[in-house]
Formats: sequence, C-alpha cells, structure tokens
Amino acid sequence: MPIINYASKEIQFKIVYYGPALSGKTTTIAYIHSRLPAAFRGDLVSLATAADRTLFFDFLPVDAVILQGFKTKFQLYTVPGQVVYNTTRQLVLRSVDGIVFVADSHWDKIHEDVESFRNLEENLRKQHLSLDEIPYVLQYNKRDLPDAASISYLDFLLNNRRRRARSYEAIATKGRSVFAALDAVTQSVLNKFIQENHLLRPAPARESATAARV
Amino acid sequence: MSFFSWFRSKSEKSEQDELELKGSNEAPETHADPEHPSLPSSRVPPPRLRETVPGNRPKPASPADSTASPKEGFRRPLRATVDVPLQVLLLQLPTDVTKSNIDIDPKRRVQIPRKALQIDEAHQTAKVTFATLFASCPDIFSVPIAPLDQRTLEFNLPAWERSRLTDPGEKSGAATVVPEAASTGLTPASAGHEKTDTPPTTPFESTRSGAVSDRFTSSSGEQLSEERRPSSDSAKPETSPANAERNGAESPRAVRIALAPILKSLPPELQPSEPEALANAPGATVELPVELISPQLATGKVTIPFSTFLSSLPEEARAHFPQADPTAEVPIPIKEILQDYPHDLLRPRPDQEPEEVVPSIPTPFTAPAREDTERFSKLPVETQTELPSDSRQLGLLEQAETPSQTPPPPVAHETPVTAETPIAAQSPVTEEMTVAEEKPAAEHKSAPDFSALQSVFLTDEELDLNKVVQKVGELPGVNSALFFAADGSLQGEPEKLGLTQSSVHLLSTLSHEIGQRVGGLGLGQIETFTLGWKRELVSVFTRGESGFVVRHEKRPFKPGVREKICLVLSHIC
Repeated sequence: MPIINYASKEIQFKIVYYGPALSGKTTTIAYIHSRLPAAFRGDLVSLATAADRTLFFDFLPVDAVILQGFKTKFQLYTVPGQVVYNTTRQLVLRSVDGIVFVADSHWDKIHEDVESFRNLEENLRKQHLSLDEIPYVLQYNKRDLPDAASISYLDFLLNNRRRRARSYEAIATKGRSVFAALDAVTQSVLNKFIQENHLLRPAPARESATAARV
Repeated sequence: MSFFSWFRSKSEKSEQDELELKGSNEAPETHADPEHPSLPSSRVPPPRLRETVPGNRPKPASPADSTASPKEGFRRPLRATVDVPLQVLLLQLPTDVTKSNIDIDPKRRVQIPRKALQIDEAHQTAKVTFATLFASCPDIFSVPIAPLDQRTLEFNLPAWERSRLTDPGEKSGAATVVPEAASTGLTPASAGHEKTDTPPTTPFESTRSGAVSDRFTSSSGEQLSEERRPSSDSAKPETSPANAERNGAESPRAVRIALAPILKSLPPELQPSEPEALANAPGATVELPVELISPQLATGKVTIPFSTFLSSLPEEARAHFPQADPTAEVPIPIKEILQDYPHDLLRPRPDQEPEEVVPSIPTPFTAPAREDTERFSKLPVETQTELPSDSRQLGLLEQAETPSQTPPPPVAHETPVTAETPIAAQSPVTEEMTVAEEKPAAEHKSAPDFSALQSVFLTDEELDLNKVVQKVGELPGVNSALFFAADGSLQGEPEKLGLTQSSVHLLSTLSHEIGQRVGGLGLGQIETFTLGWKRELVSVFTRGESGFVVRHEKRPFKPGVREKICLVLSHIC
C-alpha cells in the first residue's frame, strides 16, 4: 500500500527486490543507481556485513511521475537472501507495492530459487497478502552463464501461478533487462494504484520529468 | 572381448552345440511366435547369458518352482515396436535421400512397427521400407518418400532384439505371458514404464583398464527392467494390436541419464573406486522412472536414495561403489534429466491466465529500459539470441500503448553526460559498443571486462587490473593480494605478501600441478587451494594459467569473499 503524504504532495511506492542469496539483487540495484540521472535518484544506502553481503537492505529512492498533482517516489529495497535473515525479509516486505523476484539461472541454484519464492509467498501470507494482488515480475538473472537453466524450466518452477507473470532474461552485471523488469513492475504498480483510486492517467513523461526536477 | 563379440560368437555356435545345451537347459515355455513362425521354438539362449541373468533362467516346469520366485517365471512381452538407434539406420540409408547435416543424437531411437519389419533371424538383421521409415522419422530425409515406395533398408538388429531372438521366453508373444503382477509384489509406482521393454542401458565397450566389465548391460540392468515389467504388463497389456500401437506411440516413461554427471555430483563418501573408468565407458547410463523424478522436478532438486541408485546400475558397476548408508541422497543433475525428459510434462498449468497487459505509463525507468534493449540488440553475439523474451515483453507494452500515451523521447537522452554522471553510467554503454563494433573478435575475447567489476565492488571508480587487485586485497579478512598472469607477469606487490617473484611462480606451478593431479577425483576443476602457516594462510585461486595469490587471516574466508574473488577472476580471465 503506497504512503500518501498530503503535506508534501508525495506518493511513495515500495518496490522490493527479492530472491535467494547471491542471485544479484544488490548488483541489480547498484546498476540502477549508476544509470539513473543524479537529479532523479537519491543515495544508495547499503547496509552490508563486513563480508559485503546485504545485512538489512539496500535502499534507493527514485523520483518518478506526477499523479494528480502528487509527485510519485519509488523506494527500491533489496532483502538479504540468506535463509537466517527471514525476520528482516518480513520487515522489508511490509507495505510492499511491487516485487521483482531475482532468480539465479545457474542449475545448481534453482532449488534455492524455488525455496526463496516459497519463502516470499509465505512471508506475504503472514502479512495477509498474496502474489495474486501484488504486482510482481520475474528477473531470471545471470543468463550469460554457460550453465544457465532453460527458460522453460524456470517458468515451470517460478511462473506457474494462476496468472502468468512477466519474466525477463537479465544480466545484472551488464544491465541487461534490469530496467525492463523494473519498468514493468513500476507500470503495474502505477496502473493498480490508478485503477483502485479511479485516477486519471499521468502526464506525459517530458512534463513529469521537468516537474520532478523542480 | 566385448559383450557383443562374445554374444555374437555364442549365437553363431553350431546347431549341435545348441542341441546339447537344449538338453540340459530346456525352457519350460516354448510358445511359438505367430509373427516369427520360422524361429525354432526350442531355441535356447547361450548359457553364459543366463548365468548373468539368474532371474531369467528358465527352470524345469514345476508348479512349486514357478511360484518360488516371482521373477523366475516372468517372460518379457513382445512390443509392438522395435527401437532402433538412429545412427544404425543412417549408416545404411543412401545419401541421396538423407539430409546432409543431421545432428545425430546418439540417444535417439526410432520406433518402427514390428509388423512392418522383415526380420531375418538367421543373420539377425531386419528390413524396413523407406516409406515406413519416413513415417517414423521424416526429419532425417532430404526428400519426401511416397507411401508406396518399396525400396528397403537392411540393418542389423539392435542387441536387445537379438537377445529376444535367442531367448525362448522373449520369443513368446504377449498373449502367452502368464499374468504375474500379483505375485511379483511390485509397487504401483513402477507401473507403466514403456522403456522397460528395452534394455536400460546401451552396452559398454571394454574399457582400457579392464576394470569395468564389458557386459555393462547385463544382469542387474535387465533384472531391474524385469522387476518393473510385470506390473507394466498388468496395467497395459499389449495383447490387443490397438493397445500395442498406442503404447508404442506413447512418450517414454523413464528417463535415461548419463552416469558421468551423476558421478560428478556424488558426495565424496559415495564416490566409486574408479569413477573415470565408469564414467568414460561409452553408453554409461542409468534409467530412472519418470514417476520418481517428476514430483521432485517442481522443487528444483532431484535426489534418489543411494540404494535406488545402486539398484538402477548393472551389477558390475555396483561393485565399484562403497558400502554406504542406503538412505544417503544421490543428487541427480536436473540438466541431465531434462535432456531426456518428456517436455510435454513441463508445460504450464492448463488453467494459467496470460500475462496482464497494462497501459503504458512513462516512468523514469522506461527510457533506460529502451536504451538497454537497443544496446543489447546491437550486440551480434550470443546476447542477441537471448533477447527475444525481453523484446517480447517490451513489444507487449508497446502494443498496449495508445498514441496519447506514447512516451516522448527518453529523458536520459535529454540529460547530457556531465561530470556528475557516474562513470558507471557511461562505461557499460561505451564498453559494450566499442567491443561489439570496433574491436575484432579475438581482441574482444582477451579484453577483461573491468566495467562489470564495478558492480562487484560496488564502486563507480573506473577500474583497471591494478585497481582490481587492490580491491581484492581490501576485501574483508584479506591482507593482500597479487595477480599472476599466464605470461608470468605479476600485478600487485609480492613484498606485501612476503613472497618473491620466484615463489609466486612456484605457487602458480604448484596450483597447475595440483589441478592436474586432483582432476581424476571427478570433482571438477580445482578453483582454489590454501596453504597454512603458523600465523596466516595463503590461498591460490586459479583459472587456466592465471590466478590470484591471497594472504588472509588464519581463519576461513568470510562469507562471500571466496565467491567474489572467483567471480573477479572469471571476469579477468
């Protein structure tokens, strides 16, 4: 559920990058941070352990479009993928508006992908949420690996819910399909919000970009 | 002598020898095969074969004996089709009708209706018309074959069919099979394995070491098939031709997996004594029922109990494995499973709704997404083939766009690249473009992709080899690092490591030597090894002739550090 600040006329949406450990969530968000113009983005806050693994989350605020005079902001989070940090994942998932599930395409990691996806469903269930109501996309990462699993099998494992989700073959280290996945989930989130609140469509991007800079 | 050479020599024995054998080993059930009336009904298999297949050995007709062991009285039913390796057919097929560049899958078999074959039992060959063959596997023909084309192709019968001819039990048709499913006590899970009619493995050739038997497709393999067969028969009797045809056309119910990748992923305590000899033997495969694998495939991990794994192996191979906990899990590589897995079982759920197509709303991410798509679509190499999924997604979005919603030119294009723009924002584009358009392929291959390492080290700093080595040396728990290249050059400070150039050279030679020595363990290529001194540890990471020498604290690497160094090394090399 987005946070609406009437005083500052802002709507904040929360996008969470979820997935198993070492699947490329932090790399993905670091790439996004590096590609966005400084005017649009805030600082990338990364709470990492000494070993450079995500301890709590990575956080990246991004200014976006104008909706009914309200400036929209997207807050991008990652969760720690390690199994032991489940409480942290539950905390980060609170009030989530959209999810990008980052799956590792390596054959040896597929089981962890499935476990992580189940964990996501379980954690959402604890918050009385479900993937049926939250927009999400699948980012099949590390597609440049020589030993990458087939897309059909990944779809069979992770994209076999009642409603088919959009899936992207990504290489986070090179930025391939990183923005495509983010853009897709963002659009779904915005459309859901517009639909639920019976709002008008936002202004074209040129105006909104100018407004965002102001 | 290989199994088949031995088998053929035995088959060519004189009639007198066979009669002698018949006198001592007469089979109780000698039903005449209606399809092969010329086959001597009393023909007896060579004694050696029956020695290796104790469960198949015919016993003197005695009701008490026949009920003593459920396996002993069982006879393999006659299948409606004959499985013939594609390679065998291609060898005989005239080149003017065959496609020139056929990628032959050695595992592939062509199912030919038995009634369409003219089997020559004396020479153990069969003839099939081109038209029949074209109906079974049209993809190998370069020209269409008319149904009335009477040209025939003669080929040697595969081993399992030859064994049928020599085994009286095998000769008898399915109609003569005594229903024994109830007496075998088999579990329903093993029912319905169509492939069980064929041998579970293709024969092994004799190995160089001679340690592995040259009769790999023998007793236990057959026995396993025999164990599954009775319930299969009870579930799907092939007595009616229609049913037999249907069975012949069904997708396989067992998955054949090469033994080598399974051995690679076996835990050390389950490793066989001579893994290379087992793995390298041609046709080394195990066959696992689909019913056992399918439920696990949805979890992304497939394991079977060690006891099940052993039972799926031929007896000769079992001897190579240690006595271990029968419940220990044997991981089966999914990649190998899917190579032979019926793909129709992996289809999405039938009630799945298609992807939701939402109206396009311009966001700050739309422009970079398009830029990236364009950038990667310009790369001519393998990335281009990977793009369709992404392109398809964007295409869907574009289809949903109305003219009023079409976004204007991307914002990122309007924003000039200034000093404020992080270097990483420029470098991926420039790097990729330069590499793809200007540099020759060979240079592309040798040039390390340092821009990709920016995200590994979470830095916008422009990296070169020297800085990368420095960054590796600054990883948590690492005191210093040094990179040695294939040409002997060093990057870093050997003094900081407390090493001289010659000692680094010694370490690289040592790693090469260790890699060669431990390569035979079947655990894959060695990536790293660690030498311990009283106060500290030195780890060597290698890839080919290059690698990192890392001095670190006297404790294991902190989580993620080892993986990160391996990743960096893979990027550099």
